[in-house]
Amino acid sequence: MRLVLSVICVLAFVSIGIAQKYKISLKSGYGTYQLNDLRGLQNDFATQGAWMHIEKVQQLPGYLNYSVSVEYFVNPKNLIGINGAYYTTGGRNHISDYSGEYALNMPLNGYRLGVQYRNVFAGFNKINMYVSADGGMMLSVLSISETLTLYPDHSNTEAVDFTSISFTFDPSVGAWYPLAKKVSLDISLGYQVYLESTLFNVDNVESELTDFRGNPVRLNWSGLRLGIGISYNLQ
Amino acid sequence: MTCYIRIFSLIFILAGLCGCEYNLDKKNFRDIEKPPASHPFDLSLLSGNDTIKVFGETEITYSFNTYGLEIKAGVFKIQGKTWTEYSESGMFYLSPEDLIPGYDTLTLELYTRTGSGSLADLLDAENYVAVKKWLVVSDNRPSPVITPVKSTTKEGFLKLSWPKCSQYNFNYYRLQGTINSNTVVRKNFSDADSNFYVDSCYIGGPAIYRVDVMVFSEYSYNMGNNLQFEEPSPVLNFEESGIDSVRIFWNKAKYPARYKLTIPNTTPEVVLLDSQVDTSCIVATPGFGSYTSYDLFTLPVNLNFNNGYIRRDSKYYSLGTHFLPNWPKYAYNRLEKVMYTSSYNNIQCYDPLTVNLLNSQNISKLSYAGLFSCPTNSAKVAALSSENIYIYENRNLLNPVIISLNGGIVGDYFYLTDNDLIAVVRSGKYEQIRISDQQLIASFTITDYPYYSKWACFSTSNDGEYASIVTKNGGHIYRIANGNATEIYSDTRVYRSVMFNETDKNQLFMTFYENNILEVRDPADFSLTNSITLPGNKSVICNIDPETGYMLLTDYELLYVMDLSIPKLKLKLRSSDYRPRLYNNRLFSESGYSYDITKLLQK
Repeated sequence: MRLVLSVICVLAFVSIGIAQKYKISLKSGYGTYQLNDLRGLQNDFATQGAWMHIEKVQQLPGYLNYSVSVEYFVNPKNLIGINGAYYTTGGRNHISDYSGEYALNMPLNGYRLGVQYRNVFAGFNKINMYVSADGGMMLSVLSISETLTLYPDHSNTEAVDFTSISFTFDPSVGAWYPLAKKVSLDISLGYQVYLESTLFNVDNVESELTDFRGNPVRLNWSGLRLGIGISYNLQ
Repeated sequence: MTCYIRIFSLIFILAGLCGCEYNLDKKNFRDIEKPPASHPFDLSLLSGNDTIKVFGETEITYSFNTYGLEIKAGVFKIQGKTWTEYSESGMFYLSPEDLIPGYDTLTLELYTRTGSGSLADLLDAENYVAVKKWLVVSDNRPSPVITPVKSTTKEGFLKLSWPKCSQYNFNYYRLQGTINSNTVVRKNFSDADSNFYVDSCYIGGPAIYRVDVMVFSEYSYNMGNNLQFEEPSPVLNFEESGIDSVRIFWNKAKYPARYKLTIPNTTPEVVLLDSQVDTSCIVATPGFGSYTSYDLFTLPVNLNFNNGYIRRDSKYYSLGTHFLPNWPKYAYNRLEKVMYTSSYNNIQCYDPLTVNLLNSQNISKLSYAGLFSCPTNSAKVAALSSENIYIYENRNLLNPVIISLNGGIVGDYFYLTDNDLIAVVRSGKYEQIRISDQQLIASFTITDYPYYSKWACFSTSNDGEYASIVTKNGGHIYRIANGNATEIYSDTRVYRSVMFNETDKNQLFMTFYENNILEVRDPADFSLTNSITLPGNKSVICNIDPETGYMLLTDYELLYVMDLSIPKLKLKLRSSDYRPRLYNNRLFSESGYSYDITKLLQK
């Protein structure tokens, strides 16, 4: 997936050379994620391993995300474009002592690709305020790996990957502040609405991820999105 | 410049996208101490000693003290078989059928948690292992069937040996010995190497020894094979040693023994010999007409013996051969040279030389009453029962002349003369009966009836003319003629016995209580024709041997055989018989014995 996004970005940059009135934005931000079912699944794992004193040391917290967009100035107030984003978080149950280590790692990555519309609705001083609406598809990949290591020479790892695809809609507001002639600082605040989806085993797509009670574990990336980045105008 | 910015931006984007994944690297480390390298354990088998014996389905009870540690598993192993236990105490079974007979090791591997609470501890990857081993011997083979063999020790005792049992489930040998049908040995030998037994008490006789091997198994033993044999035990033998002695001897036992020769039923017990060496002794003969019983006890030389070992041989010895019961009386016919007597109610005719029975005829009421007499001039024989007189012509004992008497009376004297008269003394009367017409021709009452040796106190001459009766009060001589009995002589001497010479009516033999003189008188005038000194006083005249002419006398302690022609004592022989007779050099006793004294007379 990372490779796909990289290819998209490269293509965007290549297109810069041939485009006029374009704006390229690179943004990093912090997002919160609901992911309650996944946390419940992690709780199940932790509860099951409580007798081993396993504890949840990382439980799918909000974390940095990254996005890139290429927009076209329909007019000075309206821009349309495409964007891609990368979200990452994870859960971890862990215990270790002198005799060994147990770790349950659940890294979760999301890859979004969509279109966006941005409207500059106000400007004062050098700051331009805008609203933005993004929509697109999001590919999520969850890896669950369980590793038991007993010193000195025993180690065993079991891993299984799940994937899910769903739709997202991100309304946001933001502002540009010019830093140079073609470069400006871009700040935004929004909320990502994620259409809950189930996770399927990569090796067996008919097998969905369920919790310990047999209920499907639904994925929900929804949450606040705070971003900051740099925009570059190709006009 | 624009180109550089583009390339830089591209690298920045790619690096950011590849390196910004959320890191899962937080740790939950528990800082706990490692468990000690060792830990005390108390592992014991309650049902086992130093060596666990598995000779049957055996319950193995264990008890572990781990001093607080949780038992994960206790694995008992032997010969590839395992029993896994999970508790501090419990039991399992070992079966010898599952094990190869012999010694082996039962190994316990006890796994416990360390109690450290570490991940490895919790995941059963951190254990204490305690190992303990016990020696196990197992065998459930049935006991072997063995047969003992016998031999002799250098001391001469019986030694029994049997094959050693090499089975591991050996318990003990059980030796059982039956001697003379008595169980005399019952011993157990718990040492498998103890496979012999010296029976120093066995001295002979039928013996059965058996050794059973007892094993610790469900079927504890099979009966061994019998060793059965019989060594001859000493047997009494007798051999005359002179006239008055007998040599008693016996064969020596095969094994060391003690010999004890006794006379039974004596109080105190008469012991003739008690020796471990001697096998013979010479004792006084019991005398003619009686017997003495002897018991030879063969005893073990070991003082602690069971009476069942004792061998006893009982025999009686008599001078002569017993051939008749019930106090028989005798008569001898010198023409046919046969001897008459009785056995119960049978008159019997014997060859006196061989004592072979020649003829026998039943006579009623003869038993205990029978008296017999033969004349000197015919083959006749007369028999007196308690109710009749029977006169037979010869030893064929056919068609007798029967003279009835008043029944139920036993006669004290009975004599058949040469002229067919019967003299009989019954009921205190002397009577003469003529056979031809069965008439009583004479009778008189005996006023001084003999009491001692009455059978020898009556006598009649061979033609019936004279009769003599003597007692301690005196002597009487009667002449019987024409139906009258007239006393022609009497005196008051102390007589012992009287007897007419059967072949010479003029010779009347008389003996006395108070001297040892045998007087020969003429009954006609009572004149003394001869006086012979006898070897002892109180001699009773028994008879004169019709063949040799020797007179037999007795004083009830000794018999005397006198040659009156010399006169000379030919033989003196111990005897207490009451009414002996001498016919053709054969002695016959009222106790039913016969004895050939020919050789003794020739000495």
